[in-house]
Amino acid sequence: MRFPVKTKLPPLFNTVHIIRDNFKRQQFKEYELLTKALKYMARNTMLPSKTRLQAQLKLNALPNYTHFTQVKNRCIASGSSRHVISDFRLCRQQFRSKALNGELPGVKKGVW
Amino acid sequence: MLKFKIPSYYASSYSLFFRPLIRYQSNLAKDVSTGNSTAPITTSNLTSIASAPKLSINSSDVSAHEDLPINLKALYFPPIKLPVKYGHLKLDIQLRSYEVSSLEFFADFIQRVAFYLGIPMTGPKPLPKRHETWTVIRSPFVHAKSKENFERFTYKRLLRCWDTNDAVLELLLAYISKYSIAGVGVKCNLFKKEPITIKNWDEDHVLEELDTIQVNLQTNAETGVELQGNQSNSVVDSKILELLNSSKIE
Repeated sequence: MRFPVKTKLPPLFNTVHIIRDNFKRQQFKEYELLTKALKYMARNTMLPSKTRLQAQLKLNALPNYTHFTQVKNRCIASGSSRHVISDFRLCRQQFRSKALNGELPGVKKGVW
Repeated sequence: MLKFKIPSYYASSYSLFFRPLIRYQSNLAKDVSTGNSTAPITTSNLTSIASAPKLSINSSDVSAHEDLPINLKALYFPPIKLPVKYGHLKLDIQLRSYEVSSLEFFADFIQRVAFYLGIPMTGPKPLPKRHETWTVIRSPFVHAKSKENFERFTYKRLLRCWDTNDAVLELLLAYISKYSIAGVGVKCNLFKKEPITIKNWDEDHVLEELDTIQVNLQTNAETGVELQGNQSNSVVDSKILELLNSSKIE
């Protein structure tokens, strides 16, 4: 697995997808300040148009992995990206098996 | 040592009147070992105590052992509450748990602690429980029509302390956190009153001072909102200035 920038490995269970997603989160954190500043400059009508254009160009030149839209929640136990229950950060399968084993405190079979 | 086998239906029952039973047992067991016991312990006697639906009904059983110290005897009754005299609210304690039994037990414990510290306490007031539900597909692959439901209830209780010194409240909180039990969350709101100081008590000055206080309060309220926005923006602002001053962007 190659990344454009050096990254830290996330703790616990890892798959390729989890590492890739974690890399994007780290990069977003690093570039958040710059992105916010550039967005403010590009949208501020009080600034000269040349500055605004330059800010916009710089914003567009940032790599994709710095955007938060690239980040997707993943199951911490299996790495699956579908039907992740955000309360437990688990996908539906893992959630069901853990809930039935009694590993999630307070969660019971629903009867209503 | 005497050991009693506890049937499972006692263990699953309300721990509020189950916990004192254990203490009572151990106390009697000590007495037996020292040869001071007066009352014979029989399993029928114990079951009559344990199967009683309410604490207050146990009083007849307790009266059989009048040699018990009064603080031990008090464990068989609901916790005593001191009357609220001045109505100054000092502390809110909110307890949260997924089980009612542990919640009630800890609330009971806190009330007893408050009584012995001399704190007037009201409650436990049951707050609305939180109900969360999840519906997931039963199988790992396809068969999406077959689903399974899961739910979780979060129960809450509110205890309120009145008319108390701050030092005593700190003691209470320290004691509670020291003997906190697993599975019960505690949230506390401390209320403090501060005096408004006015420097000059002349009639003209007082009005001026009141005006300035009001203006200050208003500006604080206004800037408070701005500050909240600015706290995150202050870093961004400095970054913007840095960018504007750099040679790359003019």
